[in-house]
Amino acid sequence: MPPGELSDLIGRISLGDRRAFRALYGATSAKLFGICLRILKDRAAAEDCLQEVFVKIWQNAAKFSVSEYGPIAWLCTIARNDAIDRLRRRKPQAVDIENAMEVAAQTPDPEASSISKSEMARIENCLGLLKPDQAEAVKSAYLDGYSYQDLAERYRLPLNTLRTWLRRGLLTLRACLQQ
Amino acid sequence: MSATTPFDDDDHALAAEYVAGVLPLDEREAFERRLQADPSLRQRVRFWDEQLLPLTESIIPVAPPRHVLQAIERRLFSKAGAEGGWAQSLAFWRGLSLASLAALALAAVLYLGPLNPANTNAPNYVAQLAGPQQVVALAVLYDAKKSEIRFNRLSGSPQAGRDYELWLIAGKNAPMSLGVLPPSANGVIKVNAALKDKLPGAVLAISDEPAGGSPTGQPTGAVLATGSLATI
Repeated sequence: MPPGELSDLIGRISLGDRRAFRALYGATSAKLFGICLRILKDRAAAEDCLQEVFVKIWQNAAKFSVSEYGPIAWLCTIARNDAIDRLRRRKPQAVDIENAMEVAAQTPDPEASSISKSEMARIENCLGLLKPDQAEAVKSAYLDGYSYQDLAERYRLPLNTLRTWLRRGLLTLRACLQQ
Repeated sequence: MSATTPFDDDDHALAAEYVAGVLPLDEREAFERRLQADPSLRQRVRFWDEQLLPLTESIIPVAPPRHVLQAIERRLFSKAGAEGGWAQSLAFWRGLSLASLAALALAAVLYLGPLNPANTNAPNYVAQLAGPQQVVALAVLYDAKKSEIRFNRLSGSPQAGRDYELWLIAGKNAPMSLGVLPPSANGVIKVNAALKDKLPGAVLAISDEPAGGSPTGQPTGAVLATGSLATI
């Protein structure tokens, strides 16, 4: 669904339009469920997450128009934030990184993409400026919800060293993305 | 303001760490508290949210099971669990920057001509109506003495064969029509006596409708702009 139509639906939801809410759910729930599932790696937790995400969408729809976010970014941000909050609150548990990487290796149908090729090329180009390990750490944090703690274990670095290393990568990324 | 001061770099890195999701829970929550009060920090977070978004394209969409939608709708719309969107929205609209509303109030008076405060016991209101796509923007002033809304169109006019309709939304009630917006750059809409006491705390909205206004009495087209009424 084009971003303009998604914005219209969110605008109608802010007026309490339940049909618009269903239409938005139909158009975006698979993407948002995919995000919750990828971060939480647990189906029941991801279902709870998706439920909370759509309750928040209904309750906060009026905030969208002044948030200056694009509609897809606004929706995905709600989903990622809820999933990461859930992940950080749950008791620490071992993340099966090998298994997670396998899931991550599958690629979705590019035809279904709602984000332009040039936007994707931009972030990939900028990530290409980082050391391969740094780029991979940024991606797995963003997509899989790995914390500094998880990354420190994975790269076998002291927490502070890892944090300084990743921060440097993020600031390089920002300088590139701002061009 | 230089973008290279250490302080700036610090907040930029923190915004990036927040969006990437790597912060431990206590730092994440502390950052969210700062975010509530700091618009420039929110801009930084938005930068990262928008820039990293394309990475989500590598995530395979998964259709959720049907019971999830049922649970959501039960939670939002069943009488027992009803939790209106508007209560939340109104809290938000009321929280709109006072400075910008004060500026708007002044601008409204300059644009629309001075109000005569004599004999005016009922409050006057201003609102700024805008939407995500900047299709139409209005500054609106409610003159209690004359029971009328005066508007100044900052931008936007309907397509041929369409009209913009102005709506009043009070609390959790369904939108009530204030009428079709005249096509002029500024003008007046009389407010029905029955609607006057619905104005405090209400939200105004503009929707795109067939010529002559909505045939159903409720918005049928896209909602193009919204804004809350603030007392002046």
